Amino acid sequence: MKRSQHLNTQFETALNKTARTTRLSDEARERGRMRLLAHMNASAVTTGASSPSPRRRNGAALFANLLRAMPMPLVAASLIGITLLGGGGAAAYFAQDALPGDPLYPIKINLNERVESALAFGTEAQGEMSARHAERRLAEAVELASRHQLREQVATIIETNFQRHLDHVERVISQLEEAGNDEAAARLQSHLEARLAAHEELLHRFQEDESQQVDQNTVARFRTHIEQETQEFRSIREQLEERLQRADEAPARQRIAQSTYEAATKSLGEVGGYLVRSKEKIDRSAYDSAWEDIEKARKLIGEGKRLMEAGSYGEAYTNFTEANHLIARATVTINVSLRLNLYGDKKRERSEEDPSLERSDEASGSIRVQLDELLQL
Amino acid sequence: MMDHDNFIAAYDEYAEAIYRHCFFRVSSEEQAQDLMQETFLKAWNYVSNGNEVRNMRALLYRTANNLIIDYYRKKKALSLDAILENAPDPAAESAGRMDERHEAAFVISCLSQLDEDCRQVITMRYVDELPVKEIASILGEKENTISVRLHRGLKKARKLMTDGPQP
Repeated sequence: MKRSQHLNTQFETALNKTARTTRLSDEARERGRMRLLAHMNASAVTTGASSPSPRRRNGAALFANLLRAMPMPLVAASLIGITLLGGGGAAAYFAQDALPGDPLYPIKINLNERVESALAFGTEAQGEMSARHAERRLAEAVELASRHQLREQVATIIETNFQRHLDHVERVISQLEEAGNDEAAARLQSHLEARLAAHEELLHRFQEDESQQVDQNTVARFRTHIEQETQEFRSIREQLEERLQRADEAPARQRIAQSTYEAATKSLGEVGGYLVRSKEKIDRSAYDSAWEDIEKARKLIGEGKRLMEAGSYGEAYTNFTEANHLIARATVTINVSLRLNLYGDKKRERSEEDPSLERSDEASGSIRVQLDELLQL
Repeated sequence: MMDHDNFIAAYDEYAEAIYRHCFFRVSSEEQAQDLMQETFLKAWNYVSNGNEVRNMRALLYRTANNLIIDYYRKKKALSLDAILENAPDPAAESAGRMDERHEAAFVISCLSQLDEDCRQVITMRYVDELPVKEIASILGEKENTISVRLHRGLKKARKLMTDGPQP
C-alpha cells in the first residue's frame, strides 16, 4: 500500500492541519522572551537607541551595563538574585551550594539552573550548560560520598537529574552533527567524556580507600552508571573520529583538528593558571598529580600540532582529544582538593569550580612566567 | 521609532508564528527555536539602530528568511527518520495520534524535498496563512511570480504524496 493512501486529503490541507498542531512550548517562549529582554537591555546601553536622553537611561540600562562587564555565569547569578529580590533572593543565592537532602536543593535544580539554561544562547551553549549541570551532579555525588552521605535515595535523585542533563547533551550533539557543525559536536562530546571519566575515577578512589567507609553498593551502582555513560560518549567520539578519518575533504578535517587544537590550548592555559593560583590552597599530592596531567597534555598538544602541520589531521585530533581528557582530570583533581579533604588534612579556602570562569587579573608576575613556559608547545 | 515595550509585545504576538515558519522550513524543533530567537534579536538590532518599521510582521519574516538561507548553506540533507523524530508530537500515545504523527512527518518530508523557493512560498501560504499579495511584498517579488512558485511546488508535493518521498 502506498504511504499516501493514509492521507485522504490534498497536500495543502494536510500541511495546514499539521501546522495547526505545531506549537511553541511555553518554556521555549519564556526562554526566548528572557533572552530577548537581556539582549535589549544590553544593546540599549551600547547603542543608546532606546535611551536617547539621560532621563531615560534608567536603572535597567545601568544594570545592563553592569551585566556586560561581568562574566556570563555571574550574569546568570545576578539575574537569579534580581528576579527573586524581595521574595526568595536569599534562598536562590544560598541554594547554589545546596546538596540533595537540603531544603534549598529544589531551588538550585528547578530555579537557579533553569535560569542559567535560559540564558545560554544557541544550541551549543545550551548543550554546554547541560554538560556543566551534569558535572555538578557528579560533584555533588563525590562530595556526599566524602561525607559518607551518598545513600541510595539521595543517589537516585542525583542519578535521575544527571541522566536528564546527559540526554539533553546527546540530543544537542546529534543536532550539531545534523547541522554539519562537527567541530562543536566534537568539543561538547570531548568535554563531557573527559569530565565523566575523571569523576568516575574519583568515585573509584573512594571505593578503594578503606578509611572512607562509603556505602559500597551505592557508589558501585553510581560508578556503573557513569561508566555506561562514559562509554556512550566514547562511542560518539569514535564515530566522529572515524568520520574525520574518512572525510573526503581535507579542509573539513583540517578545520575540525584546528578547532580542537584551539580548544585544547585554551583549556591548557586556563587550567595551568588555575593550578598555579591554587598552589597554596591545595595539598602537594593533588598539585603534583594535576601538574603531571597538564604536562602530559602539553606534550600531546605539541605533538598534535606537529602532526597537524604535516597534514595528519585525524591523528592530530586524537592527540588533542586525549589532551583535553588530561586537562579535565587535572581540573577535577584541583576542585576536589579545594572542596574536599580527599588528598590530605590541609585547610583550604573555597574557590571557583571552573577555571574558565575566572577573571585574569591575578595572572601576573611569576604566574605569567609559569604560564608562558606551559604554553611553549 | 518602536520602543522597548512595543517590541516585546511584537515578540508575544509573533514568536509562535515565526517559530512555526522556521520549523516547517528546517524540520527541527531546536533549530527552529534558535532561528526564531535569532530573528527577534536581529530585528531588535535593526529597530534600535533607528530604522523605521512600518510592517513588523514583514520585517520578521524577511529576517527569518535570511537566517534560514544562511542555515541551509551549512546544512546537510535530512533523512525521513530524522524528520519523524522532529515531527510535532500531538502529545498522546493513542493509535490515532500516532497516525497523526506519521502523517505530519510524511507531509514535512514531502515539503522538505521541494526546492527552497517553492518550500518558502508554500510554507508562507499554507503554514503561515499569508495572502499571496503579502508574500509578494515580504519577498519583494511580483504576485504572479509567487503564484507560479505555489503552483509548481504544489504540483511536485502532490506527486511526492502519491509516489512517496525519497528516503
